[in-house]
Amino acid sequence: MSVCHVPVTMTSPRTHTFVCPECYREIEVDGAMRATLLEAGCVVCGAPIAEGDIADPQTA
Amino acid sequence: MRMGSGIRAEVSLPTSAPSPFDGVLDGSASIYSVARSTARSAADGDADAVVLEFIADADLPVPDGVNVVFDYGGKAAYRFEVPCCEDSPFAVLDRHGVPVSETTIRDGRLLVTFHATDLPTLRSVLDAFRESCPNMQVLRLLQSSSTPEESDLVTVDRSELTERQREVLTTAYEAGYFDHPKGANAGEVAESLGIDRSTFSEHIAAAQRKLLSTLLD
Repeated sequence: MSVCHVPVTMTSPRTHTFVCPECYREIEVDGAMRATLLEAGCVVCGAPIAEGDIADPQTA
Repeated sequence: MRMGSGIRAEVSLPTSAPSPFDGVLDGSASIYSVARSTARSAADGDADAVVLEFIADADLPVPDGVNVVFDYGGKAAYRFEVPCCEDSPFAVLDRHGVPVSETTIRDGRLLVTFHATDLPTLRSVLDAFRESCPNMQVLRLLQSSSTPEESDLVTVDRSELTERQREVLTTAYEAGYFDHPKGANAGEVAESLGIDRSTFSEHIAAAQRKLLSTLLD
């Protein structure tokens, strides 16, 4: 019997590049983390973040 | 915000102090995997020490105190012991109760992947890293359910397809029958297989039904 495991994910693993306007750190984030950052600010320096600080998605 | 879902973080740190690899590596060598355990140092009596083991190329130049545990196929496992340092990135992660999922060294940087339980924990870890390593870089943060722990796996038993069904499916797939727009239509694939169009359609339908019944609830 040949068996293979197929990961069934209905969302594609797309990531965004976030560049902090304050500390200039560049971080690759996924969609859920992008939403978290917009709400909570930069994880490193705490600066507030706008939509424009996170680039359009790219295929990981 | 999705609390409790955990955040997978990949961070790049210098190999120099407070990293335990300070003085062990010249920075150019790659290390594929690091394991770590805490031990009582025999030399220092009751002082806590950390034992580190790593896999690297077998001919790696290492200073005294770093021993080859065993080697195999051009690679070797090395072991060394260092005193506990509370600023070490591993000690920081230990204090936060955050497990390290992967540690490697590439291009002279210590790359640590860990899984923080929530955002405040991640922030606290990164603050501690930044305090001792100002040029810490956060490479990647993933919070979605596409992490391996939370992915949605099903088991597909390919032997449920007959030989003929697999052959028809493979030929159709390779000919672009499933592409949009189609690279080949049913008649063309049937012809390349030397079967009737209706026979082709029957095989394809049966194969799709078997596969989809497994993939869909």
